[in-house]
Amino acid sequence: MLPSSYKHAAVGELYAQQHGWVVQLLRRKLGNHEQALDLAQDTFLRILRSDAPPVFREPRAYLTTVASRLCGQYFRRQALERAYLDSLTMLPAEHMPSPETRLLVLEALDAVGQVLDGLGSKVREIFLLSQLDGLTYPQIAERLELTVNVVQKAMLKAYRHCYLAVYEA
Amino acid sequence: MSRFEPADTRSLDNRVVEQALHWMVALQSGTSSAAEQQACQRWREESTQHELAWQRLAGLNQELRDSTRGLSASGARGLLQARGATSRRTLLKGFAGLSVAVATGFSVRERVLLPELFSDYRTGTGERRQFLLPGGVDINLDTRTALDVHPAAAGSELTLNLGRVLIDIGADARLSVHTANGRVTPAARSRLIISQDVSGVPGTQVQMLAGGASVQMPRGGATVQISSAQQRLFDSRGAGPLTSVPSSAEAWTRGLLIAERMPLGEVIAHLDRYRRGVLRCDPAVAALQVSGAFSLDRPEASLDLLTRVLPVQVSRVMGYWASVMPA
Repeated sequence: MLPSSYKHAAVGELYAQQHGWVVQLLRRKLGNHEQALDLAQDTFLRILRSDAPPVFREPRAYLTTVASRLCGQYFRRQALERAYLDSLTMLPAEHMPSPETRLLVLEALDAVGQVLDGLGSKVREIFLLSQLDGLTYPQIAERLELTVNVVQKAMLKAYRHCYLAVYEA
Repeated sequence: MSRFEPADTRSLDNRVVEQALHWMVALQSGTSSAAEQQACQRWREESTQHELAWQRLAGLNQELRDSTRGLSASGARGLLQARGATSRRTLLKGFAGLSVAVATGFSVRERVLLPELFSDYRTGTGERRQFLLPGGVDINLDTRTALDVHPAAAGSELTLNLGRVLIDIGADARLSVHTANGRVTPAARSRLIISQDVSGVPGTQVQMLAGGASVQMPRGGATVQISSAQQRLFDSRGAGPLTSVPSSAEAWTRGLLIAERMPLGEVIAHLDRYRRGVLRCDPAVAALQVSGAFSLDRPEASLDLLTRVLPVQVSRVMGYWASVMPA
């Protein structure tokens, strides 16, 4: 049996046994049945595509981990979307970006956000002040009332985090 | 659609990655010295592994900037922080009724080509950027420039907040540019440079390279015309005299500063805009006249060149602060 079809079979079995349970779990987290069904689907897809071996010693613990991560991403995406729509309400109607543009902006920001996920908000702020605002470390230090040394350490942490998120994921 | 994908799948020693991280963090400080930059360059050239690690990190930088293009820095930062600062409880409030857009199929490359964003176009220090607006308008942004673009029924409405922009208008395009000192409406097929508060000159300077433009001064002020090859400064006192556009006016789009008997103070003010950090000119030498071509993309090399042709020296503190003083 080919490894990939072996994996398909194993995940298929997992799906048959645990799908209902995952939907329940997600429904408790999300409070919405439709959304729970969608994310449950994503959960199994994620497992199917991952490099993890298809041997699930404690399938529910594993499923909980994957589903919770997806839930977190979903919540953060919602928060981003809401903040973005809030920011647009101040614009006059004629300057309102089209729905396509809004979606593209959100997709792009969400992708950045996913790479930054796991960093504390302070480190994230330092990194973004450097990368987006183009501030120097002394300027960031002054603005956030930190030492340059702290800024430098945060930058190293953030860069390492981003690298690992993309290259070691 | 997926983004932030690995650029390659080669294996890389963790120690090399760690070294590259340290170099990148050091060089992004805004305070790295020329010696440090050269040392980093040498490290990159030492092995292909080094260069690969460096390119991966540089690629992440680029991806991050591409992904937030079209948004102001503070706007993108605020949204990313809002995204990260979630707890389940706060999120569940107001959760009902919000449908999620799950369409896919757009790429960031396409997004960059959609300039009908409400947004700021910004360039950082030493950065220049070119893009097209609908209807055939070619826009070139100089370093440290902030431009808002609003689509309007009668062509694009631009607001130049700061910096310098070269605008080339096609036969069918219409636009106007607002600044703090007036509203510039060029004719179709015009080519012009507009600067706002650039290099120590407060106000709006309009340089017509081709075509013509009318400039309406703020608060119901007069409207004046500018023709091809003329330039004029508009500031708080109104419209300055008409003078000729120097032949080198466009040189910055190629990364060059062409000085023709230009006071040193002015040369330094131009280089300062392209250099991370603070660059000052001692008043004792500011009036020295300079002629020559200087690289804007390599301001340190330009400073060194100045020390060879003029009786001046450059004092640098940690690479960040630099002063041009009498030798």
